[in-house]
This record gives sequence, C-alpha cells and structure tokens, in this order.
Amino acid sequence: MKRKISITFFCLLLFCAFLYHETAAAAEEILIGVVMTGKTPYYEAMHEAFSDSLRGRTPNGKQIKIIVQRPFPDPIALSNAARKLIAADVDLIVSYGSPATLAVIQEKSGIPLVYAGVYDPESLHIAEPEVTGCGYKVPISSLLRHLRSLKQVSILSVAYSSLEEDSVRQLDEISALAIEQGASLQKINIRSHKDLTNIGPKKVGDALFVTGSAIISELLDPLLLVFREHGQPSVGIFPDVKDSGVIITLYQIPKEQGEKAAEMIYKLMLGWQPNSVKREILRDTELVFNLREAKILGLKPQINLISESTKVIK
Amino acid sequence: MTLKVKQENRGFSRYISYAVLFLLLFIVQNTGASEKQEELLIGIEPEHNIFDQVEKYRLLADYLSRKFDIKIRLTVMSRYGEVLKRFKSRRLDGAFLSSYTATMALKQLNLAPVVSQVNLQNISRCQSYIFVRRDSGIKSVNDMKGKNMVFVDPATTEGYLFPAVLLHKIGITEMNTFFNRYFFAGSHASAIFNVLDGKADIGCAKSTTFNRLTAKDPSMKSELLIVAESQPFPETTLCIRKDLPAELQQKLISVLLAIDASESGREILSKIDMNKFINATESDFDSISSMIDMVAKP
Amino acid sequence: MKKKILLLFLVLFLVFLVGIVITLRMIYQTTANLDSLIALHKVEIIRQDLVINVQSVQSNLYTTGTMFGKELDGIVDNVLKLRLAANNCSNCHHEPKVAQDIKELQSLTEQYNEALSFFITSTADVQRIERLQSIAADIGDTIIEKSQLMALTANDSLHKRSLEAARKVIRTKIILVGTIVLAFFVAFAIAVYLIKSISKPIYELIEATRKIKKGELGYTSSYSGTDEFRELISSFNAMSIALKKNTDEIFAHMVRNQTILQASIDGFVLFDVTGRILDSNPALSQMLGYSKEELLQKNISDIEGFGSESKLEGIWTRVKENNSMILQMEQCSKSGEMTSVEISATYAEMEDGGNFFCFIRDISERKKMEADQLKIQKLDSIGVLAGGIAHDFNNILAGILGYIDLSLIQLDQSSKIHPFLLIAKKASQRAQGLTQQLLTFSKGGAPVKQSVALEKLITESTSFVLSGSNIKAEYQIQENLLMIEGDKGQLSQVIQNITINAKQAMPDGGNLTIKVENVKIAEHDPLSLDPGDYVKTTIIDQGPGIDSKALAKIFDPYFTTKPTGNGLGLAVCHSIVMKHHGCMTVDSTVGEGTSFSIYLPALMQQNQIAGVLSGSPVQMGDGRILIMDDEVCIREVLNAMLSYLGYQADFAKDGEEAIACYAKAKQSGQSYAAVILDLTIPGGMGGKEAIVKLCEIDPAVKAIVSSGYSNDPIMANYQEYGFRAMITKPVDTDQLSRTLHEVIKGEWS
Repeated sequence: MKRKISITFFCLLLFCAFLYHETAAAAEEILIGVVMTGKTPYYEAMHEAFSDSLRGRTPNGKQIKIIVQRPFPDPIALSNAARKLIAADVDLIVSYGSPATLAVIQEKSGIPLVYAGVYDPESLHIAEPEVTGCGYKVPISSLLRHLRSLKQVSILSVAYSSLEEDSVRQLDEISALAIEQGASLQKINIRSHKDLTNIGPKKVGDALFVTGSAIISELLDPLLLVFREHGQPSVGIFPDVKDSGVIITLYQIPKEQGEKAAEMIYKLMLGWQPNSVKREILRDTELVFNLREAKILGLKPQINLISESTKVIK
Repeated sequence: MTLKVKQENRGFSRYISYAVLFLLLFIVQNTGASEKQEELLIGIEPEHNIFDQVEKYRLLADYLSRKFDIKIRLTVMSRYGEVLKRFKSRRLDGAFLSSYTATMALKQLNLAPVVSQVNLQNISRCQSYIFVRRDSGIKSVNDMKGKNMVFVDPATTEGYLFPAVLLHKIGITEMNTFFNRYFFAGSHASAIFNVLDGKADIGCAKSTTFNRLTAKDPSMKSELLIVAESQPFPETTLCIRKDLPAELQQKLISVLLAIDASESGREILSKIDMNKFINATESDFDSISSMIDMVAKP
Repeated sequence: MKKKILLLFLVLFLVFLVGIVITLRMIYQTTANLDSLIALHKVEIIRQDLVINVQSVQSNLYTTGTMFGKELDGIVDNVLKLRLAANNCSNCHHEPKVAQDIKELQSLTEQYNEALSFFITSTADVQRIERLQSIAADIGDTIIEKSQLMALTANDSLHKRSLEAARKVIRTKIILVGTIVLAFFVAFAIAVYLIKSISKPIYELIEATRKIKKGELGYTSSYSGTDEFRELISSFNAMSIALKKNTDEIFAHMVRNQTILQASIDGFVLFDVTGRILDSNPALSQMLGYSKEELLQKNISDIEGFGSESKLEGIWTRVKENNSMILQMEQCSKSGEMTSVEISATYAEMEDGGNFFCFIRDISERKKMEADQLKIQKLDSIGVLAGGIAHDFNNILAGILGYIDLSLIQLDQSSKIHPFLLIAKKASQRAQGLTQQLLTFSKGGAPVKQSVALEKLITESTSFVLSGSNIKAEYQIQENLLMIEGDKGQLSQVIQNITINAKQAMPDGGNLTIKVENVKIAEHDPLSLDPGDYVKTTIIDQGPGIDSKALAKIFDPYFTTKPTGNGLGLAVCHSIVMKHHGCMTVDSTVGEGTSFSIYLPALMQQNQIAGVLSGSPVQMGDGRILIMDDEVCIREVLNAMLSYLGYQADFAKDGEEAIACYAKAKQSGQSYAAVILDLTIPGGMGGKEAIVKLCEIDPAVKAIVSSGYSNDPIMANYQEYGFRAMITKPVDTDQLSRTLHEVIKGEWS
C-alpha cells in the first residue's frame, strides 16, 4: 500500500514538472483546454469545426494551443479532467456537452469558459460571468411528429443516461410531450454497457427515442440492435454519425456550434470579457431520414417526411 | 364499377376530344379564319396533390361540358410564368388562379375575374400568416433580425408578398442582411414544417393551409405562434379571357354561380372541397396589385 | 333375365355417365385453367400497361423541366393512367400472396403519385425538388422492379399453369379414350355375358328335350341360373318329373288293374265282335274249368252258356246297343257243373274295333241267401203276429196263474183238487215259458240284466230239464267263478234249450258234462269278442254228433233236424248270448257228440252282488196300493193277492185315472203306500208317461212298473224312469209280496 502511494506521488510530481516545462516553453501562445463529455462523435464534430475555425489564426500574434480531455462522462472523471486543465494553467476552457460544462463550472477556477453542445443552456441558469457559449435546441415535438407520421406509437421507449444532465432534461421534455400526446413511456437508463442487458421485451415499446447522451452515443450500436430485433424504429437528436440505423434524426448542425464556439473564444482571446460575448442557442436543424433502415423495418414513410428531410439516406 | 366504366368512357372520349381539339386549334392557328368557340381550355394551378386535384376538377369540367355545347378541358400549369405565357399565346381561355397569379395576369393580360371559390368553411378568402415557434422567443419584427426566414414562393401573395410588404413598410428592404438566412420552401405546408423542425425560425404561409394542417395535428398549433396576419385575399379565382363571346362568359358565370343549386353540382363541389362560387371583381385584386407594386421581385 | 339385362345396361350407362362426368369435369377444369391462363395473360397485359405507364411517368419525371419534357398535362394523364392501371390489377387477382403484392403495388403507386405531386407542386428549394424527384424516381423504379418480379412470378405461374393445363388436356384425352375403351369392353363383356346367359339355358333345354325324347323321362336339367330361364327350366324339369310320375302311375295302374283282374274272384273275359276271346283271368278259368290258353283258342260261342244257346245270340247285340248290361244266366263248366252267374257286360269301341268286356260272378250263394232272407222276413211277420198273441195270452195266463196260485194258497193241501191245481199251475207255467219265448223271439228285447252267479243258475236249469231222465249231469265248475251280468230268465232259457237238445240227442241216456270256468280273451281272438274276462260254459253231450253241413246252419232260425222242432231254439239262444255281448260256438264230431260253448262277459265289479231275492218268505203288509192295469182279470187277481197280503187295493184302468186317484188320495192325506203301473195301456196313458206326472205330484211316489215284456228296455232300466221296482207279468204272490215289501220299506232305492 505504501509503495502504491509512493508511485502515485511520484507520477504526480512528474506530471507537474511536465506541465511547468510546457508553460515555460510556450510563453507566447494561448493555451485552450477542452473538456469533452465522452468521446462523442457529435461533440467531436463540433470540436473539429472549432479547431478548423481557429487554425491559422494568431490573435494578437499569439499561437493557439489546444489541450483536449475526453473523460468518461461521470462527474468524478469530468472533475478530474477539469482539474487537470486548471492545473495546466490553461488560458481558456472550452467544454462540450452539459456534463463537461457543469464539471468545469463546478471547479470555480475563474478561467473563462466557452461551452458548446449544451442542450437548451438557458434552462441550466448559468450565473457565472466567466462563462459564455452556444447551446442548441431541437424541437423534440417535431421529431416525435415525424415519428408518428411513420408509425403509430403508443409506448415510447426513451434511452437516457442519468449521468448526463442534458439527457435527463430531454427525458423530462419527452415525458411532458408524451403525456400531451397520450403515449406512455418506457424509460431506459443507460449508465454503462451492462444496462443494455437489462432491456427486456417489456422495455421495448413501439419506438425508441435516443436522447443526446455521450454514453448512449458510444453504446448506440448494441442499443439499436435490441430494438431492431423487435422491429422497432428509433429517433434521436444526435446525428447518426456511425450509421447505426437511427431512422430519423433531427439535430442541430454541430459545425455551426463549433464555429460559433470558435468565434466566441476568438473574441475572448482578443480580450473580450466573457459576459460581453452573448450566450446563444442555435436552433438551425437538419432532418435526416434513413429510408434504407425504414425499408428494412418495413415502414412506409409519408412523402412529406421525405420532402421535409434535409437528407435522405437511401 | 359503373362509375369506373363511366370514367373510362369519359377518359376515352376525353382523348378523342383532345385529338379533335388539337386538330381544331391547328386549323385555327393556321388559318385564323374561324371565330367559332369549339372548346374552353381552363387552367388550374397545382396544389398539394396535383393528381387528386386534376381528377376532381375534371368532374367539374365534365359537369360544365354537359351544361354547355362546347367541351371544357383542363390543363395544369406548373409555374406562374407559364400561366402568363399560355394566356399570351392564346392557348388558355381561362384559369383558376391564386390571388398573386390572378393579380399579375389581370395586370398584364386582357382577363376578367368572374367567380371565386368558397371553401367548405364558407370562406372565399385567405390570409397570410407569419409565424414562429412558440419557444423561439420571437415576438416582434425586431426579434426576427438575424434569424432564418422561410418563404413559400416569390409568386405568392401569402407566402412572400405580404411578409415582404410588411418588412418593407418598416424599412427593411434588404432581407439578406436582416435575416441570417432566408429561403423558399416551395409549398405552404413545407414552410410550416420548416419552422416546426427548426430549419427556419420564421415562416409564412396561407391561412387555409395553416389551418388545414393545424386542424389535422393540433400539436402544431400549440408549437407555433402567429406573429402577423394579413387582410383577406381571394384564394382561388376563375379568370377568363375578356375576348371570349359575351354570351359564353355570361353563361359560364351563371352556371358556376348556380352549381350549388343542384344535387349533382353540390356533389362535385364537395369533391373539390368547395361550397359554391361567388362573383369576383377586379377590385378584389387592387390591394394585391398595389402590394406587388410596392416590393420588387426578389 | 329382364332385370339382369336392365342392370347390365344400367352398368353400361353408369360407366358412360361416370366417363362423361369425369370428362366434363376435366374439360371444365381445363377450360377453367385456360380461363385462368387467359386471365394471367390479361394480368400480364395490365402489368405491362402499368410498367409502361410507370416508365412513361419516369421518363416524364427525368425530363420534366427540360426541353424534352412534356407539359404537365401529359404527366398528369400518365399518372392517372398509372393509377387506373394499378387499380385494374386488383380487379382480377385473388390469391392472398398476389393480392398482397398488388396491394403493395397500389400503395407504392399512390406513394409514387404523392411523391410526384410533391415534386411537381414544389416551386422552390432546388435541393428539395431534386430530393423529391429522386425519391419519386426510386419509388417508380421500385414499382417497375416489383412489377418485373411479379411478372417473373406470374410468368412462372403462367408456365406452371400452362403445363398443368396441357397435362390436364392430355389427362382428359386419356380419360375420354379410356372411357370409350372401357365402355367398349364393358359393352362387349355384357354382350358376351348376355349371349352366354341366353344360349346356355337354351342348349340345356334342347339337351333335356332330346333326352326325354329318347325316353329318359324324369330327366332334369341342372341349370342353376337365377333368371327367367331358370323358371322355364324348372317348369320343364317339373314337367319331366310329372311326365315320369304320370307314366309310372299309369303303368302301376295297369299293373294294379291286371293284378285285380288276375286276383279277382269274378271271372273276366274280353272278346271282340267276332267272339274271339282276347283275354281272360284265372277266376274264369277256375269257374269254367278251361285254362287261359284253352280259352284264348276259343270263340265265346264255344263256351256253353255264353253263346251256345241260340237264344243268347241277341244278347250281345243288345249289349252292343246299350253299351252295357247286367245279365244273369246258368253257366255250364267244362265238367258240366251248372252255376248261377251274373255277367256285367260292357261294349266299347276301340281302335281295333268293338270289344266286349265281361265280368262273371258266381251268384249261387247270394241267391240262396236271398231265399233265406225271404224266409226270415216271413218269420218276422209271424213273430209280430205271435208277439201280439203272446201278449194277450200272457195276460190271460196271468189271470189263470194268479187264481191258481190264490187257490193253492187258500186250499188245504190235503184236498183232492190240490194236485190238479198244481198240475194246472205247471202247465200254465210252461205256457208262460212258451209265451216268454215267443215274446223274446218276436220283440228281440234287451235283457233285464242283473248280477248273476252262473253256477246256481246252471245247476238249477239243467237239473230242472234233466230231472226224471237217465242222463247223468257232471258239473265241472271252477272255484271263485266270476259273476256275470245278465238276464237270468233269458240265460236260463239258453241253458235249458241246450240241455233239452242234449237230452234229445241222448235218448238212451248218457253223461252230460257241464264245465264252467273263467277265461281271458286276448285281443285278436278268433272269437271276435272284446278282450277281457269271460265266463265260459261248455255243455258236452255224448250224442250222435252233427255233420258239418248241418253244423254250419245250426244257429239259423227254423233250421232243425227234429221232425217236431220249430227251428227257433238255438237261434234264440244265439240271439240271447249275442245280446249279452257274448258268443256261442258249437263243435261236433259225428259219432262222438256235440259240445256247445257259451262265453259271457264277467261282471267288472264282482263285489256288487245283487241280493238274492228267491227263497224269502211271503211278506205281509198293510196300506193302500194303487194298481193301474187295463186288463180286468189282472186287476182282479192283483186285488185278490193284495188283499191276501194285507194290503188295500184301488184300481185305475189307465194313466189319467191313476193320476187323478193318486192326487185325490194325497189331498185327502191318505197317500198310497205304493203304485203298480202297467207299462203298456193300449189307447191310453201308459206307465211311462204316468210316472212323470206322479213324480210331479209327489216326488216321493213309490211306483212299481209291471209288464209282460220283461225284456222291454224300460223294464231293464226302470230306475232311470222314476220307478222303484218292476214286476213281470204274470206275477206270483211271493214275488209281489217281496217287491211291495221292499218298495214300501224303502229297501229298494
């Protein structure tokens, strides 16, 4: 035990030495720490747009350096990642997703924070002045309407993760809508892979709604497999980047958020105060219909759905 | 089955009629000798389901053919521009036109509006609605700035003219700068769905389509907020060439106005979701005409 | 056969019918298949129509808006045609799978229309329009693809059905040909069977007639069919059997007739009109003394008696004229012996001319019997006359005897007249016996039967006859001799008559053996007696014997060998014994003696022995006695006797008077102690009728019947008529006293 503690201490010293060396070496650069909620393709897309937007830019002649943390989206891991960035003395922090954003805010480091990929950030009521960013809002009701045009839904299964705050809020919103539309809900809480094994036939309703969650994004393939086996379609508010077979996705274009976040961080790098950079909610959406998957499941889409889709996967 | 046979027969006779008409038109065009009106070619503007629409309007055309000595034939016009072109080339005797097209046609051609359609809700006119998602936070024109706007089509009163005039009136003439983005959905329904899906923040559409869709799915209404609405415009008006024989014009008007008096007439009307026809005048289109004059075509 | 023929034709008809039904069914199926093939072809046309329409629309879709594009009207028309085509599809298909496909196709078409509609009506948003165009095109492609797939399936089905239809056509052909061939064979089989069925019994019949013709009468065919021929052949068999039976019967009849003719005791002769003897029987040979061979050599006229006499010549002519006649004549035999014969002659015309059939019967005995019968009839007349005389005479004798009896009772025996009276009484008694014999003979009356112990009766009767003669009677009487039932008087008369004959047969004296014994007569005894116990009495004398000729006639009436005999004795004996259901035989050897045997039936109940009446003293009595009798002398004698016996007598001359007297006396309270009623009152009510009335007046009346005819049936069975006793006239005082005593005292019941 003593030995283990000694090794841990030694490692920590080594890491601190490394960080010091880096900081010293880059006296003329701006260090941006990025915390991403999991290795989520949606956030990765945002980050890619973010990075692309900043590439080649030298605010006040300074080089931009980005350190990315992609911890597992549980609060401790996220906190650890935030602490690491704080310890690395980053100039700015960018967070993707609500859990990451909240974890950074919780550390109260005073480092300006730009968030992105936060669902309906207004409902988070972030008071901290050093925080700005762009969130997104997807009309879930519209997504459900398109789902209804595809098939009658009496029981709607909702996959969410209680570990992710925005996923839970989406669940609440869906619950309210389901009550309005007279459908019952089957809540499927996914915190780890083993939760998938608990999905029995009773949990499989007439369709699956996949909330925006990092964990679920990672486990999307096995999750959809369960529903596909029962012939049930799924909809989601994250783009189906891995082509897992989500039939309808209505999502905010991640690139826009990435670019917007880059724009915001650039302003901060130029010396803007975070509270002078207006927080935004992006609502511009893409509707993607997976006709191929619909055919596999024997669903006949109304032409209106195809007509209104911005993209149809054939 | 009988109906089907009749339809087939009608279809068959229709083809013959087409052939005959083609021949006659050919003769008329080449000789220009005869002034005798052998058939009436009426155009219709496509709506959401063009084929159903044509089938239904054909019933009306058949009805009218029975009432007249001459054959009434229908033709579908896809584009606003086509209407004017076909009228100009004398290939059209009349057409059921939306308010914008009618106004433009009246302005440019020697046409006369004769009757307007009254729908099942007993309404002959429709409005233009400007709407947003209820959760968008947009409440006034000022809130629209920097947002995404969806129009229907530049050649529509409700789907473009009215909101453009509205913006114009408050001094917004450059939409490109006022809106983050604006685009044309291509149909009234699509404009509504674009807003619902979040592809646009603001949309406009004609009230009849808006009401039809929201009546079908009430949740839409709860999600949308109408932020502005226009005065009523005639929805669909039959405009005919003024140079048609006066007697024929009169007869056409009287037959259409009296169509709801007969059982068979009412039956046909109900199939095209109509109650009756009412008289239309050129003055019905004055306001639209002035609106067109106000805004330049995008 | 009719049924069989009908049945076979029915079978043939059914074979045809089945063939026709199967063929029709196959044709129906085949045409149905062909119809469905045509339908499939139509479907194929519709499908092609659909595909063409889709392709047209697809073409429109890709070219619309271009310089090659059609106007919208064309597109709309094409789409509407497509819709019609799609709808037409559902008008013919019915199989679930196909129907489902069609439904899908229709759905796709509608989707296609919708997509097209969206595409056409979209006026802005190029990307959207392109998307819609692409989607519509995809759907169109799907429709075409699906249609092609369906076409493949349909073609496959078409091919299969075509093959199936072809197969069915071939099968139908085979069945049709098969039916015709089968029908031909069935018809051929039926024809062969029918010919065989008809020819076989006919051949059988021909064979049977041949055999019968050959003489095999009774031949029967063994044909075992179940048709009409069987009936015909069984009728034929019956005919054959009947023919044989009849022939046999005729033959048997002939044999029987011949036997009868040969065995007949009557002679038979058959001769033709020329008199040539054709046939005769042994009886004739015996009768005439000629052998049959001799007779067949003769002419009827050669035989003496038949034709030798010229007077008989005309007889055969008369027989011929009358066809038959019965003749009587004297016939002379070969030995010259004459016999009376009766000839039953019949003339009959036969194929070979006229023939005479004659039956000749010896009627000598019959003629003699007829003579005897005539004699008996004469005697019967005499008997009736004698009976009448005997009755009156008996009454007279009753008076004579009565008075003699009274005189003897009242006369002192020492008187000189006494012996004379005794002689007179005896003479009178003999006269009475004679009248009794006459009465018995004339009336042939039934015996008045009572239990009789023969031993005493025989000894008394024989000793009475033999007293004073030199004949010694030797009695051999079995111990425990059975009693018999009989009329003592009559039986006594029988014994006496035989004994008298024996006494007369032994004038010089000798021994008369009298055996009395019990015998048992078995069945079929030659004596022709009923089987049972009998008492046999044999009286054997040592007289000269009787020759056989006389012996045969010994019991005939009026046959006698004695110059003074009347020939009635043994005839009466025989008659009496016969009436006692017994029999009497005689056996005699000339020079040795004669023995008569009398068999009398033993009494069934031996213990019922009637009380012996004789020997009792005169019974005196008192009381009033009513006597009814028409004869004054009888009334007077009875009055004298009754007065002597202590009774008071009243008289009535007939029944009416007697009834009146009895009624009167009963009314006065002085009833008669007894009534004596004469059985026969000429011209008035007799005892038989009177007793009926008296019984009505007084059921307890004590009446006694009296008659001279002791063998009258009423006398024998008086109790059945209501009498208490009977007395036979002439009556003596002793008998009267006893009878009255018994009746009044009630000892007789």
